[in-house]
Amino acid sequence: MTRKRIMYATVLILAIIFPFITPDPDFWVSSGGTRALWLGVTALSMSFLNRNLGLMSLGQLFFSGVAGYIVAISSVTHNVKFGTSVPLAILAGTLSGVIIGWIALKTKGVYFLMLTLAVTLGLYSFANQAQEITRGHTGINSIPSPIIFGMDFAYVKPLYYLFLGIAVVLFALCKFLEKTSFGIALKGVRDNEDRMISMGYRTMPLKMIAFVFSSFLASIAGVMGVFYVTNISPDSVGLVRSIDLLVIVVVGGATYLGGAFVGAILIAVFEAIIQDFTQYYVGATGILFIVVLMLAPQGLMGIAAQVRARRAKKTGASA
Amino acid sequence: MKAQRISRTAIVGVVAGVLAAGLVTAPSSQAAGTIKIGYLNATIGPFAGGAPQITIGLNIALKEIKSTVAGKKIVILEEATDATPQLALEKAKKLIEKDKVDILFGPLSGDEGVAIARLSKKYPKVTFINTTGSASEATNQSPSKNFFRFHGDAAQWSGGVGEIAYKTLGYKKVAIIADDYSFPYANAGGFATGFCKAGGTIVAAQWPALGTKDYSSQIAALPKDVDAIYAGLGGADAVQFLKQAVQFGLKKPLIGGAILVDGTVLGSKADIGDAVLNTIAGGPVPDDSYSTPEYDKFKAQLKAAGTGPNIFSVLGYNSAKSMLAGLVAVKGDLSNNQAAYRKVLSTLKWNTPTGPLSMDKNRNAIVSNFIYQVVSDGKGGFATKSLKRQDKVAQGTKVFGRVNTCADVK
Repeated sequence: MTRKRIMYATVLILAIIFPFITPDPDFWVSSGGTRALWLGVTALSMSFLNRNLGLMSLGQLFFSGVAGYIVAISSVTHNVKFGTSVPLAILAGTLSGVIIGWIALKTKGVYFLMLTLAVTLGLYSFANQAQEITRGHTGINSIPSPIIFGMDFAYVKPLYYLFLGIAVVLFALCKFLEKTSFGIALKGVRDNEDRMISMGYRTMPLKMIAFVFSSFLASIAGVMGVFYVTNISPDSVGLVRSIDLLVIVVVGGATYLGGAFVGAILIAVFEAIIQDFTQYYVGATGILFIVVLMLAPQGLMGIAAQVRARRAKKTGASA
Repeated sequence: MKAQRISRTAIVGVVAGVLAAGLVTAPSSQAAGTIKIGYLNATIGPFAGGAPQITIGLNIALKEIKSTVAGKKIVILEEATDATPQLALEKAKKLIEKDKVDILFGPLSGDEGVAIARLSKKYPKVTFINTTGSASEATNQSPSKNFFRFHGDAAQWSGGVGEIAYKTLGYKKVAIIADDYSFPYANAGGFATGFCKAGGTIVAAQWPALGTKDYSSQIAALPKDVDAIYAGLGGADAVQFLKQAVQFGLKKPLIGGAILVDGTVLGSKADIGDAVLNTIAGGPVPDDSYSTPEYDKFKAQLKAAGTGPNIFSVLGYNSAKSMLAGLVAVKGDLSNNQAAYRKVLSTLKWNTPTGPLSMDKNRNAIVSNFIYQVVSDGKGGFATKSLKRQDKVAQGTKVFGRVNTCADVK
């Protein structure tokens, strides 16, 4: 396990010194680093669910959207301080996970995917039409930056380190949860729910806790998004962004927690570079997606296992 | 475990490689003797059809000064957006922080425009020139000192229509049916402001969602005792509404929003004849019969580029030409945080192809608006007849929501 620790430490140190070693720090720290951390946390909420329950949810942007809109509306329209609005927003986003989870967890596979997507699209339509509350398609602009202990997070580097801190804590929390007896029971539900039931487990509460935890992660990501983009509009929670998120998770490796961040970094950097070469960057991202999946069906994080499997096969054949 | 180590290295390698590639392509610091203009255009999504028309307008304006100001070459860096505020913000940040542009030209759509106008406060060193985004609040709510709009907002595009409807055509009571989003709100608001002030009344309003395919219930619900109906619909929605208006025998005259009876709607093969004939409408683009030396020259330039006047080509050209005229006036001097340049822009005055332009204190243009009527071309098709050019239409202070009665525009 020490090797793993060395790897985590290396990644963390790289992330900490990144703002000082990158050229064009104004751009790369914000549009590369901060953006990847925000997308990474959103994707983490999706990977956590997929890895531990085997459920792919497209509803994460619903929770992000609920939290994001609450922060945006309360601070811009009602001048509520972030100290109040942010915890409230995260609480509301997390609690909405209870309702959605209660409905969605009764389904599986493609039905679960469709149901969670429907919820996201429902929020999209509501935000688009509820002019009085959400300002419709225009969305809410000029969302102020948080100031914590005199530190103004409108600046690029403080926001990056704030996001890095959040990402590290949430990642560690996921890792920790997976090691608890709760986490192990979850894996049991994922692999064979019927057997867990016959062993005397009540599986619904287990699934519910995992789902609500993932909506908690998504709500935090929603608040991060509001602070990074400084705007929220229906398209922040629409179909296209949901698919973007799915691409990040799958490219990074849907069964690895770290895959969320690897995918987010790859997509953030790729999108930033490709713009200089072609206007058809959406298509280019699609091609990248196909190429990654052809060469590494388990995503980038799955390359290790893939190589291992191939070697084992080779040695097996030669033996 | 050796294999695992190697492949972990491979992952780190791939990610590092991508990062490195990105850093290498980061452009070097600004070469002396160029002026960098970042250009946001919504070439993806709902406005992909109109977006290239703005580029045509921009290119005509660039060609007139050979893309050079006082020996400095003008470089355009274009980024594609999809008409959503979120993507427009990301692309704008990229152009400013990575490409270090001096001026940001764009965006196309109203909601993007509001987001960019707010963003401009964060980048006081860059001057922002709007292209065609027409939401009122981009300039009349907490205006930004470095954000300029060289055309009218959607409410200005109704300038003079309400007065003509009441005074010339004698409509006293009007019902509104319009798409349920910000552009028709402002467009209808501009109409209602003039109409109510002249003495008219708005008796009812219907706000169907954008993209409605069946207007039968809305048409049935329109009151019978009105003199005319204001229809703030556009594109496919306009065609569908007009078709059903004919089917249901809606006998009331229509007053169009800025995009009800534009070329694409009139050119559709649908049976809309009885509904559109005699409809009046207003907008920033003159009708077919309009002619001034400036406009004739511009029409010839557009023809050479393979197109004609429309909202995008006209506003794109007027905005680009204003941006460049400012640069020419200060001989490309953008020093001192572009102070001299912005001073020229704030007081810019010139005769555009579509009438005289000047600027108000919020850096929004005071422009001419064109009111026209749809008539038969005698060959089974339609033509437009000019009714009036309303000059010096200035922006109001309101941001309109749904207008249901005259009280909403007071």
